[in-house]
Amino acid sequence: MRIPAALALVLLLPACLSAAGARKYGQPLALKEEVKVAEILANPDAYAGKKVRVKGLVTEVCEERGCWIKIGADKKEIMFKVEDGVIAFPMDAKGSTVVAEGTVSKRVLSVEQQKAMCDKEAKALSKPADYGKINGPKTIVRIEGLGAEVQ
Amino acid sequence: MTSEPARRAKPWRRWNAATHRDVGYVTVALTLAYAISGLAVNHIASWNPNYAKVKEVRQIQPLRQTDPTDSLVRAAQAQLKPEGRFKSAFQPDDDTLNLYYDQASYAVDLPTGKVLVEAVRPRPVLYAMNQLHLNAPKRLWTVIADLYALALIVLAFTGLFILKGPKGFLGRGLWLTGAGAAVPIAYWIWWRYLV
Repeated sequence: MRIPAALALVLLLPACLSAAGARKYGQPLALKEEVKVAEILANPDAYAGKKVRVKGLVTEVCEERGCWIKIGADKKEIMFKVEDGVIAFPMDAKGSTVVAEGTVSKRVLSVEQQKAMCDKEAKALSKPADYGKINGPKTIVRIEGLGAEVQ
Repeated sequence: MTSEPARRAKPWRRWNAATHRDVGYVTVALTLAYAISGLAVNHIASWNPNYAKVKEVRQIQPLRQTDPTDSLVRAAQAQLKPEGRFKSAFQPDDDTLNLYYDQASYAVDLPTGKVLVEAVRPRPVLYAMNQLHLNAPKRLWTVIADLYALALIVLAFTGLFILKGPKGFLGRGLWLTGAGAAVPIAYWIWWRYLV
């Protein structure tokens, strides 16, 4: 009787652990106040370099390495990028509620920089560079992720 | 007669061989897991080693963008009849409604009724190997992975001194070890300084 009981415990343990509340990634959450995603995107200069806490839905997950997610709320989405290998979000996080903290970054890519990125991507994928989507400087606002809790 | 040389082996060489043998037994499963995962992850640009993805395009009746999200969700669900547990819905813009289920996600283009269905499944076994290889669990697994790395170092050094004589380290072993070390060194110099 002992062996089947132990076996059942081993088999059920992952299910019990996965059901035990939020899944935590990276550093523990420390901030109390949440900032809306739309607010950050509307005023990136005011938040650039500042640590923020946001809440929303995980709308996309990096399929290759789990190294970024997109957090959506109020018809707006922001990328939450984490350091490769430090945090890896699983694909089943998609559609779950997430509370996340990180530092807002704002970067403006010139046309030349975008073309250089296109060239690099084209070389890596062995296909011709496509400049079709480049129409002027591009502003990228994202959160450099430190920690997250996925419900 | 054939066992005479082994019987005459010095005690440290016997201990060395025994250590190499037993550490090898203990680490063989993890070595295979890491090696298979390494092969899989090396080619991440050409395929997804963690997940198998199935995409499908479906057609439903167009939905009114002006309707509230809750109504749109009910209307889309009624037509799509998705399987699995409903998790949530999100509108990234006025024309799109995303439905998230535990088995798949549905991106509905409201004006046209065109739906992109994406189902993602972890690849059995390979997903687990990759997660362990990349130390996704952290915590205790970091300690286990460190011990495994130390075991590999032990295997490497004890492996050098299993045999003595012309086939030992001071014979052909020195040449082969040198050739093995030259590959990463030469590649690094070529890639870092010459390309």
